[in-house]
Amino acid sequence: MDANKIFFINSILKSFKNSGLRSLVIFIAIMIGACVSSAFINVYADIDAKVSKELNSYGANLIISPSDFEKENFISEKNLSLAFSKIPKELVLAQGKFLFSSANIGTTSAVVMGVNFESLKKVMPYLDLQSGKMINLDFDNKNALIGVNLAKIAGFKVGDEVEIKNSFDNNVIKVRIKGVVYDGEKEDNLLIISLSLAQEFFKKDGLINYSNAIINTDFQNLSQISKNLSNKQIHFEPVSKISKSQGAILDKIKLLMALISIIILIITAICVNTSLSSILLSRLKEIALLRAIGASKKNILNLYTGEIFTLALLASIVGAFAGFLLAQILGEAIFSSTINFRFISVVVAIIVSLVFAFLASFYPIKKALNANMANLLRGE
Amino acid sequence: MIFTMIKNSLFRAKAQKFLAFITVGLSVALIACMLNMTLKIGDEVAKELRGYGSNIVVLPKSNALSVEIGGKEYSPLKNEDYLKEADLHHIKEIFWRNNIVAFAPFLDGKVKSGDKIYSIQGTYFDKNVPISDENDYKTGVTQLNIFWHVDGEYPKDDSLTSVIVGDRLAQKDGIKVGDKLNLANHEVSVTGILHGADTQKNQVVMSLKLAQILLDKPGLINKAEVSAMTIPENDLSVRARRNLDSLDSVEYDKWYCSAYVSSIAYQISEEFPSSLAKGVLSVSQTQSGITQKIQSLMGIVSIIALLISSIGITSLMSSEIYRRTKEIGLLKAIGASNFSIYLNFCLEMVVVGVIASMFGVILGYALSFALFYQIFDSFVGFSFMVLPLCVAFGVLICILGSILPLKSVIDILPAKALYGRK
Repeated sequence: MDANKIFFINSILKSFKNSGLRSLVIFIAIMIGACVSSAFINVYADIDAKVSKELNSYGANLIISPSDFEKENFISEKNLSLAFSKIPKELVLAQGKFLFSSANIGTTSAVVMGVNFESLKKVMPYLDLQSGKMINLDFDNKNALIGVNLAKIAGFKVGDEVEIKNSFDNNVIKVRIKGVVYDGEKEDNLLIISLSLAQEFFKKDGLINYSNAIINTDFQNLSQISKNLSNKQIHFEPVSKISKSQGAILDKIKLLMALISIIILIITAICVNTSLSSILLSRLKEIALLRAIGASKKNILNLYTGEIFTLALLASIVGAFAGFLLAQILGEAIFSSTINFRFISVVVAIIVSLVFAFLASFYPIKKALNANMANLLRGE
Repeated sequence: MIFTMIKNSLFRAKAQKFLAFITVGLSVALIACMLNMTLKIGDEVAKELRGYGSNIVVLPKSNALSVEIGGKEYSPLKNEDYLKEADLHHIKEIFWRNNIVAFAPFLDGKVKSGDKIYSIQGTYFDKNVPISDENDYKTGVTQLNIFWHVDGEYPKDDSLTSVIVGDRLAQKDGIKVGDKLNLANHEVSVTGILHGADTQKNQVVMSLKLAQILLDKPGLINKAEVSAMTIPENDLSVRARRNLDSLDSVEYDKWYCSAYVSSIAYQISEEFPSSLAKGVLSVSQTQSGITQKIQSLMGIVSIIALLISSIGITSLMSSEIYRRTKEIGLLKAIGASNFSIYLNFCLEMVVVGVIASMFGVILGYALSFALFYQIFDSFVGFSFMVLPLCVAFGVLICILGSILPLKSVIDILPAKALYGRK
């Protein structure tokens, strides 16, 4: 028995050694199958979070306004942060605060919007610069952005100094135009200055007109959060058009990924199968020889399943981890972020590969065991 | 001779050849399916993204949009500019008319109701707007803003007695379906409560005709919103948007004849008298961003499919060559040159490659149809480019996949090969 065992192991090792290239082909084929399945499982598991983050980067999905604007036009920042403290911190990707007032600029009157510039890029990522530069600091009290329509009407361009005159108390401040902005909406008609400057200038300390935010969650959750947080002073409301379409698109993308993965997997598996079958078919002679020198069918079965199992296991383990790397490449390319490692992907990849490897070897081995030995030995 | 050899190698060793066919066919099917979808998916995603609403707004030329925040209006630049309702059909008569999915006119104003002041808006719900050679064209907010939904029902177009009320306003004033409102001494009944709208949630929405009567603006509108199918933005369209004069004439023509949001808006401005149409970036940027993402996703998946297919075919071909080492030895023993052996094998692979790829492409088209139908409930078209590309690829990989292993065995000594020990 011991001698047999050693012979068994030796045979397997020998067959690897002697058909190095051929084993390599099998190894690579199985590895690719495992690699693809593990990569897609990893990507698919992360796709929800990644795509919704992606969709959330297109602007605010939550609007916060005074509950009854006929009585009260302002929200106090204190109340607002109190409400926001109830939303888990990691979900709040950005929060924009806005204060509006009319003022005279140069010779015309215009609406001035105070905003926290650092968040502006996130809650209005679509705001496009016609010329000049964006302002990136919240407390930049020296510079302003101007909407393209207002710039045209009032005749301002980048670099000009603008005098803003408060029509109530005739106070004057001066800011320099740093950029001309455009988005096809109300911003085209505004002069945009920093929130702190606007609050000071219009004597609205700690007050804003409305706020918006990007909350990294789905529409249902967002509606729930809005319901819970709305009170007599502050009204929370999800931007339904963005959030609703988001769910629909997310489902489509997921379905697309799932179906594509399955098709790729099936086709890969079949390709792996065909290579493996073809290689085994070419070794029928060897099997016949073993039978001729007295190996039983069971011996042969053990020998070959042992050999394929060893190869497939090694290949699928390597492939599963290679798949994780492939997932990173995919994640980087599509979502420009990393993909988390999931152990389940390795397990599934290995199981899938082994199952396919056995399916592939079934037919050739069966043929080898049942065929007429003499015919096999003589060649085709 | 050569034909006999190829014929024999194709029709002997049936199991092996069958495997080769399956592998090549399926690999090519995979690539054809992915390619066909990649090329067609942009339009489909654009359709899906209509849920984001109108991406073009048409305003009177001299109008600076009034700034409205949370129901409060700031209009420092008072202007009384309107567009004519009668000109609306021009929107659907531009060069890109087929890309215009829906549009709706809007007329906003304020009316007294007892001691309250209501902000009202008149629009089309689903109204027939006759355009040249399409007399039964219907459009309105029900198609423009598919994310709106109404508890109750939309008023009829041109109805002078029914209105819908935005959900926030309804909640604030306790208005329910079936209530009567008195607007500027005009009795109307509420047929529905509107959910999912933005500015309209604080407004009373009605037929354009009624709004024109209440506000005394016969035949006039403030603005129109348009939903158009567009292609994703790129450098050219961004440059055009920032400064149209910076394009040279070739670039300008290219921009003008592509379905960018900016060029469609530009053409509406040209056709619609005294109007200025512009792209709403918040919507169009989102649409373009998502479309590009999905296209890049599909692109990458296609590349993966390509790699997998190549490896699958190569591994199969190499096993095929190893199986036939003896044959090669025999050929050499009877005096064949390396070149003729190469030629022989390559021709065989071309035959396999062409036939299998043809089947593969057909299967690939079928697969992409099935997938597409499953995901988008619509039929993907044929990209005829896919066929020659995929067949060429299949044949090329077959040849490469067999030449590489051939190289390693072709210099083998005949005796060694025939003896069967390497």
